[in-house]
Amino acid sequence: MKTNETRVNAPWLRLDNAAKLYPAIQKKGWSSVFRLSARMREKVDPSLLQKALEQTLPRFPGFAVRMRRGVFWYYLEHNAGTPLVRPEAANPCRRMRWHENGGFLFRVSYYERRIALEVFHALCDGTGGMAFLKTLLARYQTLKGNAVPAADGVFDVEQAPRPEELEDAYARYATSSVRQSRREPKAYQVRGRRAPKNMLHIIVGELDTVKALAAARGFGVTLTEYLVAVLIRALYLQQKSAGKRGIKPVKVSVPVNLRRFFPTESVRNFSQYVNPGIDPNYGDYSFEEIAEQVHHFMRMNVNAKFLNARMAVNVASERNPLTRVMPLFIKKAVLALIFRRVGEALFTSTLTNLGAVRVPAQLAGHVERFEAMLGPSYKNPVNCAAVSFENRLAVSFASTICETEVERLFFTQIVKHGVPVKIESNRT
Amino acid sequence: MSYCVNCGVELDRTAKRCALCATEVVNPRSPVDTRSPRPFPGYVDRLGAADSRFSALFIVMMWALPSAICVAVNLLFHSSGFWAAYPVGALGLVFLCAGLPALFRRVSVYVFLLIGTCGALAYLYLIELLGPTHGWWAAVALPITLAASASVFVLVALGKRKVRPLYLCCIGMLAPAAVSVAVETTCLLYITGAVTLRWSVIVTVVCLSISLLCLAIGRNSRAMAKLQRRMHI
Ligand SMILES: [Zn+2]
Repeated sequence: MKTNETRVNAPWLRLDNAAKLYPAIQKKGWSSVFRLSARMREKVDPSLLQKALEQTLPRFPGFAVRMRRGVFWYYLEHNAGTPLVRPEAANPCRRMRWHENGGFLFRVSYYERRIALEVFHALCDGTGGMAFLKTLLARYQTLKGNAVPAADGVFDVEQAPRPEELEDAYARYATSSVRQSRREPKAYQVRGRRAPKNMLHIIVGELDTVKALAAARGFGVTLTEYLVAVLIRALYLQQKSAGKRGIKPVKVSVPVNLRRFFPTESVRNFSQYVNPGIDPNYGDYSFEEIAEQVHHFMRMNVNAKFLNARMAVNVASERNPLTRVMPLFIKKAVLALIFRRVGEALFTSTLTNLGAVRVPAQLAGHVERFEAMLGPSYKNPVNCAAVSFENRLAVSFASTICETEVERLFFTQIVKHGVPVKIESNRT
Repeated sequence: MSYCVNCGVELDRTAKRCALCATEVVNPRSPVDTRSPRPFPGYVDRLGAADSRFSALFIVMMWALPSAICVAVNLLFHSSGFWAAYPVGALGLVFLCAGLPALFRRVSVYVFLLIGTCGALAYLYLIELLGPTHGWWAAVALPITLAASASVFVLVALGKRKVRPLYLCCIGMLAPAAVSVAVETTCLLYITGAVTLRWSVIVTVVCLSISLLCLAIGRNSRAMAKLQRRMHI
């Protein structure tokens, strides 16, 4: 079994530690799908995109898979063929169903100048998805006649996939003997009028990267910390205006790319969450106080030791003999229950910052902007994803409620800090 | 380019209103661009089409197969009368009540309620036509069916409105009371011709008291809080 796992083009793959959760919690309202997209400078040619996908997919065996139910765990089985690229729909990040789309767990779509990749989180995290998207874009441009070299995170499709790329890095690195408890006080949850069925409301704000960085530096924090602080403030003010009794802490879940601390070639999942936030029961918070709090929280928690301890809890519960022998259908129910109670309930929203995307110069001239987006979740109706490319920082909100108060508070605060914002939305 | 006068953010040229605050874009110098493509497509991909086609086939088969067998067997042994009408009718009723809603998910639930009620009445009428006794359909079956379907109608309407569970319970308890009164009244009228309600009064009293209790708790926030604390899961 173990040898199969590491063999490239393996007929089957175990889900990695983080991925084990996603098929179990995936259901109607919660898709565990995220989207990465690139806005090109020219209108997309679907037939070339299809060809590019056909050339890209064999290089990423972790994507050429379908989901299978085992007796004890889900697993991924090699899936031959290539999914069809499709026109983009107004409601991105729809749920992946095992029997649709030829069994593939990702979709490639296009709209005007945009090429979008939607991925089921069990396959990979943002880093893995970005490697796939960049390679796809490079192939697409090469087919258009502008050869793009395999550099800056673009994979060489001529090269055979390497076993390290399919590694479950959690299993290798989770060595901490500290079992840090996952228990935390429950956080405030935004409520609102539910969006129509299957609909995900998107608001993308495009910021000037240099000005946003300058604003963040002005508060003595990094860009991620700045965005998290602005989001916490927006959620905090939204809670205040909602006028509910019983003020709860406002916390934002921030995924941290573990590759920064634990080197791996893996293009599968390898990230961990930390939940910075404020408790308004202590009193009123100014923006500066929130920024400071987030900054120090991140300094304290985002380091190899703490992250390893968090990782170790998850790996230990996966390896627990009791968990392992539990039949899948029971495990599924238990995981879903645990996740609803201690997963999403612990934070109000998620903000993921994929950072600055770098691509080879031959490709950079054809791409205007990168965008990232998170899919809907059970309890947190509003989630946020950011990614920057050259001087454009795209901050996308995906929401399952009709109200836009959080987004409005978020972007108007940024405008007040002197950073111009341009808004695009699929709300009509 | 246009800006939202309320939020200060720049808006897409194709935006008629600000996505953040819904303020309309009024810029005499650059009117809303209705020609350029919008930032997001308009076509909504609804899940479930592939699923329901399969289940549709399954449901129709589930209904058609036993019906066909019944009719075939009945034709072979036709001396025993046209008994296949009972199972085929029952299967048809099940199809109307359970199969149709599964097939056409976008049609309003009220339409199915109406269809289901008509189906039930038609089936009962069929039984009366084929059976030995007559006259009970109009006197008993019709009023009871109508009362029951009216209660379901009210409950569905309330459920859709997202009434608080306690209030839903409060009004919901009135339904069995109403139905029990209807049943006893029509039965007595049909059998004896006179109405002296007995067991339905007990049902009504029980239901009404539960209903009032729910109303009282629902209106009393402290009792509500206590209940929530004691009953929390
Ligand atoms: Zn506005």
